[in-house]
Amino acid sequence: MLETPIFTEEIPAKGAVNGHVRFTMHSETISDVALVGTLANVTSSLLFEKLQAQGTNIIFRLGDAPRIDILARREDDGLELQWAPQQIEAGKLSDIQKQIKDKILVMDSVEEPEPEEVQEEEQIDGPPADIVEEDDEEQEFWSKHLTRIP
Amino acid sequence: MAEEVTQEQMTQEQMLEEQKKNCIFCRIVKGEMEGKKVFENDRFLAILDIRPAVAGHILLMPKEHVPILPLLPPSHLQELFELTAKLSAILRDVLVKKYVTVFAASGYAAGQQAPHLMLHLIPRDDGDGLNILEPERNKEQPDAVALTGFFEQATQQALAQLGRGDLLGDAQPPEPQETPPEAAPMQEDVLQEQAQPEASERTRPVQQESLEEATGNVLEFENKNDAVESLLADNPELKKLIIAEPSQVAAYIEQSEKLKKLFEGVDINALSVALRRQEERNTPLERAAKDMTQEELFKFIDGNEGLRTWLLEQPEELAKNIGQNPKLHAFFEGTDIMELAKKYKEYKHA
Repeated sequence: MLETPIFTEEIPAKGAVNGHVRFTMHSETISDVALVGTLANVTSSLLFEKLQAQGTNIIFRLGDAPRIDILARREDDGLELQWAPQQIEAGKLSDIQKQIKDKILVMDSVEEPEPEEVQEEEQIDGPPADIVEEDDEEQEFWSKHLTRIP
Repeated sequence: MAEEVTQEQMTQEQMLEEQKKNCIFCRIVKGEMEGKKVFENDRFLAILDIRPAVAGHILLMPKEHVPILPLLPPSHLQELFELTAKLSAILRDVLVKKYVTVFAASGYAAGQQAPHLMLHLIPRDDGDGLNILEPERNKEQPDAVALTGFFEQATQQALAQLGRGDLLGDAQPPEPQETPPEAAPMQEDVLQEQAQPEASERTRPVQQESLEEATGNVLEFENKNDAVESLLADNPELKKLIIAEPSQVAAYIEQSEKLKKLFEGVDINALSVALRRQEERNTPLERAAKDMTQEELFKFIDGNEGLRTWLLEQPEELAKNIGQNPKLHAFFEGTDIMELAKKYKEYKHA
């Protein structure tokens, strides 16, 4: 129904529920996801109002075929979106935790390099990429700093 | 009268405080409970879900206690979604997954299990058995055509407000068959409702003039929240109207300088959702625990993440604080919480 360079918004004739709006995304940059996510939130609020929904779901699919579905929910709508919880070994959880934190650390250092003059005088806001790669002690410091470990 | 208003205000504040105090995720944010943190800044926290849909399932939440997404301050909303995009990319990369499903539920009917807003970031692959997160589109949407114009205009307005009106330059006009004349845009809808004396029962009690009159001297309050709370406490009909017809209230406000001043900076849609949630919280559940069979009760607890965690990990705290939450109090009246916790643990263990 509404086509833009970043997304297409539609209310399909058939939906998961009566009150299903879909944003199909043509771009998945961080700012575009934030924009369409914000629009999805507006849509969610309007579904409460317009359809007297008792709840709403916003479901993003990010990566392959990105889109956002917004569903107006009622207790008796028959839709079951609850997954079965899995038991994950504590060791595996810790491994994943470390991998994600390490990746964040590297991404932050790459995405937000310090301005040169600040790098020369004081390095408070984040380590430059070369330090993250070369200096384990520095990496440990920033890892603790970012996760607020004393 | 003034005393009654104060009591009402205190009750609301107390309820919010109680909700915050009893919120498990607020305690994780404060470090009072353990959580496997993967990201943290001044406003948001991301932890690994200890009962995940799949390994790597992340819970991303605001540090401030916000019950549902529409109540998150707009200034934080963009950052939340930026973090969502970043963390999703990281999950895909680290776990070598095809895509990530991000799931947000607002309201019990939508499957919300804890009173603290959170986004579930679930790493996915085709055929991973989690298709439940991609519900089939197999139900007719009888309102689809009628809603098309409304949502199109709402999105266009939102884009303009977000400073992205440039995107509409390339927008294709809606297909004629999708926007019949009866699909009135939002503003027209609102004005038509105002013009009709036979408006629905629920919108009749408060009209613009009476709304202006009702504001009385609330503008004298130094704090806007106090003024609005006072107004709502004094005017239950207005509260009902904001819940039922926020767009109509917004239209009234637009037409009155006095109301504009009072409601300046107040998001009526968000207020509507908050008031609706507040009413739901105050409404007792249909059945009390003592009226359920053990199987029914355990199934109910299984489906309520906050209650389940509380019962399994801190039954003493639950028993101690139950009297301060009217809904919980009514539900568990006549139930021995410690005994229930013991039986539930045995059931989970079995």
